[in-house]
Amino acid sequence: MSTFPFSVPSSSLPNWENFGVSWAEPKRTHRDQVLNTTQDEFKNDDEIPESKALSEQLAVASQTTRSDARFSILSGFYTIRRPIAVQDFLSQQPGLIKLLFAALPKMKEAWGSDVRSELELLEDPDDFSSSLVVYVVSKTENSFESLDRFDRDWWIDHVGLAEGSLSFSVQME
Amino acid sequence: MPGRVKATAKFSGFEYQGGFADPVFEPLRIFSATGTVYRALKPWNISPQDVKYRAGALASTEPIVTFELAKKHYSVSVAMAQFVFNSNAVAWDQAPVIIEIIGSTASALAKELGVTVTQHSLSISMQLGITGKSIQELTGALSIPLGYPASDTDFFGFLLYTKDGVVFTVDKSAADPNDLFVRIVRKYKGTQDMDNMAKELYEDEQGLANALGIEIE
Repeated sequence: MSTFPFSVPSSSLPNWENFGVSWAEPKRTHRDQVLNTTQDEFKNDDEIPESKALSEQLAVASQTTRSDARFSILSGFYTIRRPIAVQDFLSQQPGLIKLLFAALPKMKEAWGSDVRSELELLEDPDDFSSSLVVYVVSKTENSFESLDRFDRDWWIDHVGLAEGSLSFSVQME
Repeated sequence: MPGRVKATAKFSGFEYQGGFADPVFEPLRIFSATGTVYRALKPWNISPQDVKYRAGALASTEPIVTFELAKKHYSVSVAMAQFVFNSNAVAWDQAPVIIEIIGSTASALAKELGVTVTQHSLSISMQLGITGKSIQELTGALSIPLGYPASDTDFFGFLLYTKDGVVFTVDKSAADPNDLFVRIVRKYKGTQDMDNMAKELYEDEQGLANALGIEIE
């Protein structure tokens, strides 16, 4: 029961019962119920719905930020056309990110260290399917031979992991 | 994997320090190597504005020139006694690129300054959000040999030093006490293969995850 910080003679108090309020057992207001509920729930760390919800929201926000950062890293190495569409596609197929990072050194091996690479999401209007294509932008005349070498030395062993959602193509500059 | 709880990396960082066998105690020579390192990093889309000079280095391990890459998520710093690669939001899928960047930098410094990298330190740090269990539940059983049953333990963090130069740190995260902080440091001496060092660090991470019963994402 609540206590006052000062003493008040009980005789001087009005008869609260006339107002439908019992002095001995104060009526629990909605606020009291909320406070008591929260205190009870704080006794057990596993049952803190409000805090847990906040923690989960923070975790999602943190994960989104990290996912954005990883996409930002990828876009530091690929020129990305329609980046929002590409990021959305990669969020649905995160396994492709690993392949895209792994392909970078292999492309430099095949086409030379100054090769540029562009990434685009292609959408097929006929069957509504989407896939990513990496355009290797090259000035060299033997670019298509390099593509054969890239396919033979690396891509053929990894193409299965892409499940038809990634391809490599040469674009002459 | 069944039986394991999901551990989501909210923060992850990787650092590689490559110590020179003989430090270059002439800062001007470090400045003169800037062009060679820049050219070595050009395949990784570096631009002139990504090169930062650091004034007032007081120690031989403090950076003199820093090269930023990958939209500033990666950096390569060159000091008189070492070079350092740093990255944030890192994941193992980036390893092929990071290994190339470190290798290219080491080759450029060897060519321009004649230095040999003979001391290697690799470290990964992570803040892990655990789903389905509390960090107390993950580590509580480890305190039993000390006479504290799991029910009496709020959290059991630990440091483990191995004879081959690995240090594991498991602690409560300072950023969020509900999260796990994990750091693994691995050191090597002599000429080493970067792929092999990365592979061993990966195995350390997997071993720790197995021991804690978590699957890191």
